[in-house]
Amino acid sequence: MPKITLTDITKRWGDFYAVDHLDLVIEDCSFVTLLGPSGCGKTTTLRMIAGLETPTSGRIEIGDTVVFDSERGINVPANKRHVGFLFQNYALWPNMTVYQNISFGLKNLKKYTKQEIDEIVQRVAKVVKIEMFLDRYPSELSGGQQQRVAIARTLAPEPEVIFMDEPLSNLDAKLRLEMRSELQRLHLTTGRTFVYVTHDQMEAMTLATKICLIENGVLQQYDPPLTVYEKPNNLFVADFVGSPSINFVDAEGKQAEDGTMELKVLGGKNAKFRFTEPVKMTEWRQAETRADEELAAVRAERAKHKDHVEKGNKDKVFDYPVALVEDTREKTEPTSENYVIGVRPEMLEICEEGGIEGEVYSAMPTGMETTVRVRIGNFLLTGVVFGGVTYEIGSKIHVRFRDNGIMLFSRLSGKLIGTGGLEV
Amino acid sequence: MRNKVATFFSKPQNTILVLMGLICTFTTFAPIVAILEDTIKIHPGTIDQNLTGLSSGYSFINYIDLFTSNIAKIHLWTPLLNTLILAVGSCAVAILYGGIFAFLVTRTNLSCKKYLSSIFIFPYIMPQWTLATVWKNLFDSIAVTHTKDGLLAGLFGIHMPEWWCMGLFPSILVLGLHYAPFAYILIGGIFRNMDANLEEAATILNTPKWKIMTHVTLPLIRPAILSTILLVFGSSMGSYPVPHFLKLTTLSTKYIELNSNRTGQASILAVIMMLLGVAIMYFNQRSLKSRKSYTTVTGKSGQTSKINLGKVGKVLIAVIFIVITFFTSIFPIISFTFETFLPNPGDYSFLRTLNPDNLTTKWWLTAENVTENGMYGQKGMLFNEMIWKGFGGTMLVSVVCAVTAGVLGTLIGYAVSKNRRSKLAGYVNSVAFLPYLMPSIAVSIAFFKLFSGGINLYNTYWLLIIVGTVKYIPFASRSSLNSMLQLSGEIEEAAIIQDIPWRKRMTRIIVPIQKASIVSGFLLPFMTCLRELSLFMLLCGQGLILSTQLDYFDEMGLYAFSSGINLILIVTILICNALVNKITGASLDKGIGG
Repeated sequence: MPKITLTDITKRWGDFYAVDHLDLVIEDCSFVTLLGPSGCGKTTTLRMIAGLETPTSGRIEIGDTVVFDSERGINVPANKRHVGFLFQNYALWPNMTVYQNISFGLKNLKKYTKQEIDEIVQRVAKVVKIEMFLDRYPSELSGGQQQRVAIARTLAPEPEVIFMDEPLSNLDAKLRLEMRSELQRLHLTTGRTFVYVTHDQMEAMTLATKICLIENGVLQQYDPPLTVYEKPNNLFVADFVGSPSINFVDAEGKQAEDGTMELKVLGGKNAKFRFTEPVKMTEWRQAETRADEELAAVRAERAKHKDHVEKGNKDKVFDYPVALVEDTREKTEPTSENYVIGVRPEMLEICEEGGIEGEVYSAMPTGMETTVRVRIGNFLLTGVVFGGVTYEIGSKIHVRFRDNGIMLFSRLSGKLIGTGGLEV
Repeated sequence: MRNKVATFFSKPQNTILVLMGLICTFTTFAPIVAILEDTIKIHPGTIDQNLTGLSSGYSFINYIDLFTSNIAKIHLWTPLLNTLILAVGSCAVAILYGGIFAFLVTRTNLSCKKYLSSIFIFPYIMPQWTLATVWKNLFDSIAVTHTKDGLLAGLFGIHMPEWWCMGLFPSILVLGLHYAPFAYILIGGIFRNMDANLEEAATILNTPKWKIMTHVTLPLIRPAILSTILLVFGSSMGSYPVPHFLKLTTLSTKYIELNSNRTGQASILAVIMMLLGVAIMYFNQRSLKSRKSYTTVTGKSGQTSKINLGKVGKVLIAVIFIVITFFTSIFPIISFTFETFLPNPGDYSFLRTLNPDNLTTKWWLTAENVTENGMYGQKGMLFNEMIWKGFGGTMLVSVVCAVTAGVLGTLIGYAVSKNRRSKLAGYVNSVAFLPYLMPSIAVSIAFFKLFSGGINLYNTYWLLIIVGTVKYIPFASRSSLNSMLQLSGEIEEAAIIQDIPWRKRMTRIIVPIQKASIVSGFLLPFMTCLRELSLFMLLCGQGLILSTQLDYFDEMGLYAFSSGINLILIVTILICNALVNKITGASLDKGIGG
């Protein structure tokens, strides 16, 4: 089974960089999701690996074969890469029956007899439970059934890697949940490498062995789902992953002698942030400056190349949202004393006594859990309480931050400094 | 019961539907009945009176004589066969030429796409006979066709063989080229919206290129090919000018020939043409109703990868098409202009000597009646009252037809879209579309029969306007229905809730939203009407409109005049098209066929 390696892959149209110098290793038998907002370059990346799109520069290897190398002029066409591709809209041929759709690719392989083809079709049809629809045309099937046919068609030639481009986005919510679990089973039973594009972070979290989060063509983080969730590299990743979204709180202050951060938060309240693993801010900043300089050096090197084009879609530090009752936030130039605290909703403890006093702004019970928004002055914090708890809107309430899961970001660069506990 | 009727008519769309149903039923079926009656009626002074000895009453003698007598072959079977070959051949040429062009424009990196794509539509905008006349101007020769010397014969002494100069071959080519824009627009539309994923899915499965073409791409454009066949078959079958100019005997030319002496038998030919039209519609309906549904799902088509023709290929193919479209689209204009400055038809001495003395402006500028100089007593075109009256007539008929057909068609489209599933709506929709599939000449004959008896409207603008409206309603109703179907019902319902009256809903909401498609619903009839001959030639004398005058001057041998009128028509159409395009943004290529 192959491992897929992308080295320094770039795809641009004019000065628009769809994918910007991407390095990625997709391990054998893994289930990798390419995640990101629409237009971030994830589908382009997938199509480049499959051979449907030609990268501007870089190298792609599938297993031991180099399928694309801009310098050596190698470009193996899509049909010779032996991969499977599941399209978002299924791309079933409307003029063929389900059986013909599935067998069409097998006939091209020329290594099967008619009977063998028949057996394979019956077998994959059974896997995805469509054996009773083989004589129908795609237009006579429901969305979910079409989806299964598309999967069967992809599986039939037994490709070693299967690429999926938002395969569930055209299904209704209930069916999507069902198909999600089926895809997971399929990954297990077939033992193939799955590469999966989605903009739905929930899908990525639940399915993937590793998430590859892309924004504006640039790789943001490539880690297992829980790492991405608990230790996001930067503000963008923290905001993109997680539902309900993470709370961001502006903070300002300095590191004290004992290593804790003494900060002012939520409109002047004093707070202490204690790192779980100690971080020396001066060292951290030096390391960051070094990394920035190295990156700048690489960029300068690239700029010297004769084919270099200035990136039109510039990278910016993520403009993180802060929930406010009335938007009075002013744009200030960040300094090195500005920080951003990230609090996952489940890290917000709602209690009767102690902590900070607030007021219930809204409460949305689903039965399994209740999402509560608490108003503190002009600020809003979102928390999740498990179980069917009801709150009266407007009632007084107290909140505390749970230990060790709070994130501290530098506002200057948007990067994560460390995690720890917050006391107000 | 009474309440039910009241409720039914309280909805404006139902009232429209019933009204339109009545009108369309009459305008479609009354002429058919009239023409059917004509086939069995005894016409005094014609062959049926001779054969039966009766001077009035009814008899089947016309059928018996036409089908069984010893002249059946020349009067029926040969024209019928020619008509069928012509229609099938034109379809093939149109689909191949237009389809290949559509593929190149939409799916490859061909150079000069923009220019080519706009110039490609020209042959359809120009009168049908334009290319036929160009063909004659190019290849005619005294030696072979016994007319005047064309450009090739006059300049280089090249004499093409007879099969090349006239008859079936050039007719097929000319009609095929004329209707190729249909194929381009319809097939190109599918290519443009077709989900590229469908082909990519096949590529991933290691399918050879030719197999993707035959098993995936071609089946997908099948509906477009079918609609093209539907449109081209009917239109080319009923075309009169092209076979007439190129001396091919088809049902339509035979009809004109037989009309005076064998009136009843000629009507049978018209009935046969109608039946062919209905048959082709039936086959089309049946093949579209199959289980394979062809809704083209639009996927991430923005990512369609275009086929690379190579650096040389993309330029070379573009050059080939630039040359071809030069001859089909630009050369006619040059050629017609040039013809109007020739001192005598076929006198190309200017091209050999480049001496301006060998040109003349007399065809344009002669201000008084003169019989010498080959003017046959006509004034020059700029001063010729007859031509200007004809021009006025053409404009009048076109504008009125366009407005009435446009309004009625839009209303039909609206009412049908509101009652999508009702039987009445289905009926009105198909009855309104039927005249489109009937060959023009057959429609013309039918109306001629209807309005030459009790109510005599022959040779009046009234008749032309009625016929034109009936024939062109499908243009407007199709384009309006298609766009109305895209409009969700809620948009109007939101206004109903607020108690906004129907008239206001139409004028303030529906019409503004559908502006573009409604304009093209007006534009198409207008353009087509300007250059219509087959439909009008039987219904009026020669002077009433320009296209019939053109025919008249051509028969007379005043080739400079027929070329000049052609030029006037083409320029008028191009100016109108450009104007409307500029003002409203609608253009001809968006509405054709629907």
